[in-house]
Amino acid sequence: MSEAEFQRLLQAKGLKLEGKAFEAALQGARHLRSEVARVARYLEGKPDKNA
Amino acid sequence: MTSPADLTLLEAAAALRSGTLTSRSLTEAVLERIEAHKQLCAFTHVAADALAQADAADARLAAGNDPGPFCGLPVAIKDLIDVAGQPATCGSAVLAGRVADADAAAVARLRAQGAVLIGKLATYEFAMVGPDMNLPDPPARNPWNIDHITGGSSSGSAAAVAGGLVRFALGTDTGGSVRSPAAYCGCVGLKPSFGRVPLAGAFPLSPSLDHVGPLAATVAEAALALDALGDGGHWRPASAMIGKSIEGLRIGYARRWFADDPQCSAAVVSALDDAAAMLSMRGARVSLIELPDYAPYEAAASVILHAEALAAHADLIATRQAAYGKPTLQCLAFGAVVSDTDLALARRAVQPLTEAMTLAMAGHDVVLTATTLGPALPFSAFGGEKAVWTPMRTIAFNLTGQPALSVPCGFDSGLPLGLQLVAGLGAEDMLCRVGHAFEQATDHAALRPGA
Repeated sequence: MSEAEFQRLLQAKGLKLEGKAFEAALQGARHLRSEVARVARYLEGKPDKNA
Repeated sequence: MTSPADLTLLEAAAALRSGTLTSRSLTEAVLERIEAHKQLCAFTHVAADALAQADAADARLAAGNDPGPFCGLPVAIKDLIDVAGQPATCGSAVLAGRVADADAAAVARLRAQGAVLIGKLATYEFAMVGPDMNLPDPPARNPWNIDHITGGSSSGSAAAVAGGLVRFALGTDTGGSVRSPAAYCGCVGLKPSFGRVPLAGAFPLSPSLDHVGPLAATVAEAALALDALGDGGHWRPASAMIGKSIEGLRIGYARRWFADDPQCSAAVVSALDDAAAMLSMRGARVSLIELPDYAPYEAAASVILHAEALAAHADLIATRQAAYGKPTLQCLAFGAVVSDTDLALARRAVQPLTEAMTLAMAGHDVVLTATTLGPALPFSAFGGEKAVWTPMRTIAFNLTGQPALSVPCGFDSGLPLGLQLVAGLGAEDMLCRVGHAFEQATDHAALRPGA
């Protein structure tokens, strides 16, 4: 996730972060994106009972 | 002479009814303890009407009007949970000056039984992240070494119980916030089954994962507290099997689930191995089991938690953003990258993850594993720009909704460690049976800081 993309998402939620706070949040946000990917990989290996 | 503050809840309740103790003298003893342990920063507010509440409880009991086992017993409440007439800031400047106008549902049940609601306890800001030295209230400190954290977010609850200030405090647990501070501070923490204790009046962190639960000095007291907090209904009493033998119970020891993690300390592995051996010596049939990989549980729960937390704070962010602590606002910001599709994906994973856990536990009454993977870190480990996460094995059971109990099981470098017992939905009675048996077989619960 790029800085610009994260900034756009923050603005959409009314969040204002600058400097080191923004950098720290971006790091956490990137980790959370990797967690989303992990969930997707987990589900790929499971039959979808809701489908 | 023993201070009334050191009586167990059961002993104090009996003494109140036999006339050998008054709620006033018990409450005075607890107030003295709170005053003498201010360095723990456990309490953020002490109720000015505590003695008046105690007098009212004494009058009820004297009149033969016994509303329940908590009548006259002092209890303390995490400042994420509303107590009518007491400050309700969630540990944040965002809500500075807010006073609750009504009791949270769980608190109302304690008040209806005549409990003395003695005050509010420190919490990580909105139960999100900590410790943060830049908030209105200083972070609570570990009673075993005040240079170390308590863990969180029920930080004051754990410090107050482990420090001997109160026997029972109410906390909340969204990813381990009752169990991990209990483990770090050396007291008992019980996360009930999802839905067993009502959440109304507790500020939401993530409504899908939030639980209200007790921290207590012993397992029997945690069970008594849970029974007072629940609505009875279809739940079996948690205290129903306290004291029953564990002979023949099938306990699955999920050793690799924590011991294979490189972050796990050798002391934790050793303490858990000793606990498994102790339970076996008490007659339980202990066998090694494999639980599903922890990572997908943590991932799905993190996605849900951050998305729901940001939604819960939308109004306050719009109006009071500047008042948030920096670490909390950063954590809330993570949720901005979770789309509705991502959230739906994570929620879709809950069912198969729960089924996988249930299947892995099948054939066992209780599963034994670690609560945290090491002891409480020093405050000096925090304070940089980067968040510091303390490794634990807790959030999986917020996702599955299963009850989980943390019980003191040893020490590492003079700091407490906790074991975790997990059972099927509604099986808190089994957890407390096994936890109590372990407690009785060891002296971990009897050890107190400074003793």
